[in-house]
Amino acid sequence: MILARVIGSLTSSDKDPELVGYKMLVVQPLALDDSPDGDELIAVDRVDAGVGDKVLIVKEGNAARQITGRDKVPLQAIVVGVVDHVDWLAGREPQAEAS
Amino acid sequence: MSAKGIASPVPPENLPIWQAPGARLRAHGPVDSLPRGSYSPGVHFARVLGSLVATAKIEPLRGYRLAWIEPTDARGRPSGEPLVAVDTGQYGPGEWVYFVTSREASLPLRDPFCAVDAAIVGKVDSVDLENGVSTAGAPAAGAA
Repeated sequence: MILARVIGSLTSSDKDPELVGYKMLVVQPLALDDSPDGDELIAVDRVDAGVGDKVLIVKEGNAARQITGRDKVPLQAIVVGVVDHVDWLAGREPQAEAS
Repeated sequence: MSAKGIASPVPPENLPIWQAPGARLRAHGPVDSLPRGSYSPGVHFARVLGSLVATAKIEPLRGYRLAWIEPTDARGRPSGEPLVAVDTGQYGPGEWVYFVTSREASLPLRDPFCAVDAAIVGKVDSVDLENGVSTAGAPAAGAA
């Protein structure tokens, strides 16, 4: 699972029949210091997350099939939680990458 | 490892691995190390560049169109190396779509164990990003 931030939503009317009915979000994966890490992903939302939320994403197809209950859903990213806060051991907080 | 700019997995002293000198702060593995044309699991944006014709194909692929796609970011800007994906809808050149990779790519096909590793599964109508940015339809090729 990874941490990500919801940065937007996606509208798509023409899609695989197995994906019909799901709310799709655009999420930005985050590094440990909350900086953006990698390309934006599309993820299906199962927890009513909104834009700006920090969320927990499962990037695995079998998990997607279990959560949606659809055996043939061509999906690899699902929002499974909204993160309230992250705790770090004192003195071990990740620091931003020096540029 | 260091030749590719990826930090040694053994941090010196008592530093946690993400604070090792030169370590990149990655929460989920060095995607830089994937082979060319590979994408980490997830649903990704792409633009259709064109189609590809292969007369001799394995049987499970017969009847499916193959498309050249170029991964993009959420604003439609190119973000990676083009690759070939199975087109399960009818998506023409210039259209903005999204695709899945690896095992899930074969699920929309007749034979869910077909040997493919990328498939277009839908078309993007519009993307609404925070701070009011909204992109509708296919972004122009080479859009900044």
